[in-house]
Amino acid sequence: MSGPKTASSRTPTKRILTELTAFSSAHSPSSPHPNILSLVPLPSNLLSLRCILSGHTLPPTSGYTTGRWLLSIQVPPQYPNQPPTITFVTKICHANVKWETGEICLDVLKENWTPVLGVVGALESVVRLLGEPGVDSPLNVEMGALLRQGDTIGARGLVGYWCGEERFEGHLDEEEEGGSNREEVRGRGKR
Amino acid sequence: MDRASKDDAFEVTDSTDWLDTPMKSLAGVDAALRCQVCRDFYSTPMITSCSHTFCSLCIRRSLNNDGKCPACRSPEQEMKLRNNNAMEDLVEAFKRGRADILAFARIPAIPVAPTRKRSLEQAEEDVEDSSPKRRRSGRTKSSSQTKSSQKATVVADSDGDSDYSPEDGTVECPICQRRVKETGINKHIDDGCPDELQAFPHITKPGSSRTGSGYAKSSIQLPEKAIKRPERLPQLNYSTTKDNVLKKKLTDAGLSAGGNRQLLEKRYKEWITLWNANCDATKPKSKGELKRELEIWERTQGGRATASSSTQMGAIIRDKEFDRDAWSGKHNDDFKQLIANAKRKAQAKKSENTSSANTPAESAGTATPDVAPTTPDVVIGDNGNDDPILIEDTPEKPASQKRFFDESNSDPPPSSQYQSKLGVLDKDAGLASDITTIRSVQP
Repeated sequence: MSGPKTASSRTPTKRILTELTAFSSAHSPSSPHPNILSLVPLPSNLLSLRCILSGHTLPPTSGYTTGRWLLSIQVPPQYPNQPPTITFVTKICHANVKWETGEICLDVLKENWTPVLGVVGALESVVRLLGEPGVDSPLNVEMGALLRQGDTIGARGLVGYWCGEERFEGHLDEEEEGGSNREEVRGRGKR
Repeated sequence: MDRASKDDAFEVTDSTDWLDTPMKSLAGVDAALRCQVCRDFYSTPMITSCSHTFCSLCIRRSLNNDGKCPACRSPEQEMKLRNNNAMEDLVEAFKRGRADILAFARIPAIPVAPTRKRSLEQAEEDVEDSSPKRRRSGRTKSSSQTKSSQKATVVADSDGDSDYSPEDGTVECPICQRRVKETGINKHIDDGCPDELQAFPHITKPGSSRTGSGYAKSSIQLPEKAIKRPERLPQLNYSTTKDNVLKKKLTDAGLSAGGNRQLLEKRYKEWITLWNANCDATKPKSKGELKRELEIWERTQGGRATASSSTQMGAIIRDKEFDRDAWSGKHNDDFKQLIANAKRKAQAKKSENTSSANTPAESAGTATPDVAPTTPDVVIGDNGNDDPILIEDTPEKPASQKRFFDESNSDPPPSSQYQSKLGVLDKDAGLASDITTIRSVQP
C-alpha cells in the first residue's frame, strides 16, 4: 500500500489542488475566510493564482481597514520547497511593498519560507505584514521614512487615501476570470 | 484496498471531506495522518530528531533544499531520520477504512433516534469510540467511564465470539472475558486475571474484519521485512566532482547524462533522494519504477520543465503533439482581433505605397520596409500566440513577408517600431495574461 504512491503525487500541481480544495471546503460562502475573500487559479494554469485580500479585520490604527486588493501568486515548479511569488496587483501604500511593482518584502516569502506554510499561510502572513510594517528594510522608502519619523497620523492618512483610491472592486470567479482581468486593465487605463 | 488506491490517484482527498458529514471530528484525525509538506497521507513516514514526521521523499527533498526541518526550522540531517513505523501502520489502516467510513458518514442520518442531535452523537460513538472530547468527559466521572468501557469490551467480545469457534483449546474467563487456555484457566482466576494480551492479541482486539485482515497482513509482512533493503547512496560533493565523473555516475545508474552541468547535478541529487527515500520503504520499488519517477520529475521540475516558462512557449507550440485546435479555439477572439489589425495596417500601407510609388523600381525598393508594420504579429507570436490560422489568414502577403511569418522565432528587424514594446512582452510572466498584454500593447 505504501508502494503505489508515485512521485507524481508530489508535483506542485497536486499540492496546490489539495490546498485549494481544503481552502474552498473549509471556507464556504457561509463562513468565509476573514481576509482571503477568494483564491482561484487561472483557468489555463493551476500554478498561477489570483486572490483578493480584504483589510477589514486589521486594526483601525493601521489605516488598511477599508482596503481590498488583488494579488497574483506564481507557484514555482519546485513548490513547496521554494516559496510562491506573491505580488500586489492593486497598488498599495506600505513600507514593505514596492509601489511600482507590488513586490513584497517578507522574510517568510524569502529565506524563512517553509513547505508547511502553503499558499494560504503565506497570504495570511502578508495580511499580518499589513498590520505590522517593518521599517528596517523598506521597499517603499517614503513610507518607511514617515513611519521611522513617527508620523503615524500622516502615514495612516496616506494609507487610507490610497486604500480608497486604488480599491479593487472586481470579483474573481473561475469562469469570469478573463472578464475581471480586462476590467482591471481598463481601470488602470483611466488613470 | 483497491478503492483506496484509486481514490489516491484520481481524486483529491482532503481532511475537509469530513466537515460536511456528522463526523466532523474525524477531520482532525485525517489531518494528523497527513504530511505537512505534500498534504497527502504519509508514505514511508520518517521522524526527525526534532520529533516531526514527514514522508521520506518530502523530508529528503526539503533537507536537500535548506537542511532545516520544515515544521520548526531547526537544523536537521538526512542521517538522523528514522522510520516512524507506528505512523505508517496507522496511515495504512486509516486509508483502507477511509472510503467506507466516509461513505457511511455521508448517508443521511436515519430518523430512529428521537432527536437529530442524539443520532449524531450515536453515529460518532459508533465509529469513533475514543474521541478526545468523550474521553475527557468520561474521566471527570470515573465511575461511569469504567462502566461504559466495560460495556464496550463485552459488546466487542460478544461480536467476535459470534463467528469465532474456540478450537485452540481456550475458554472465556468468566471474570475478565478474555480467552485463556483451558488448562490454565484455574491458575488465571487464582492469579486475579493477569493481563495475557500478548498471548492472544487477535482475540482480545475488538473484533472486526478490518483489524482481522490487518493482522493477517502483518503476519505475511514479517518475512518480507527480512528482505535486505537496497543500500543507500552517499551524497556527492558536487564542488569537487568533475563533469565526466558525474556523467559516469549518471550513466552507471542508467540515467540520461544530457544537459548542462547544473542540470546534471540536479538530476543526480534527485536520483539520490528518490533512491534513499525508496530505501526507507517497507516495500521498496523496483529501479524501473524509480526511473519513471525521475522521468516525471524531469518533466515537472527538471530540464524539460524550464521549457514551459512563457519565454519558451513558442517551442512548445511548435511541438508535434501540441493541441492546435484547443489553442486556436481558446484564443480565437484574440486571433481575430490581430488579423483585423493586420489587415487594416496592410491596407493602409498598400494605399500609401500605391499613391507614392508609381515606377516598378521604386515599389521594389519599398518592399523591404513593408515588413515592419506587420511585425507586431510576429512579436506576439514569439510570446506564445503563434498559430497557423494567423499565418494563413493574413491576406495578400508579399513573398518577403511570408518568409518572415514562417520563421516565427526569428527576431524582428531592429527597425520595427514595436521594438520598444518587446520588453513589456518579455516581462510578462504568465501565458494566460496574454490577453491583457495584447490589449495594453495595442495603440
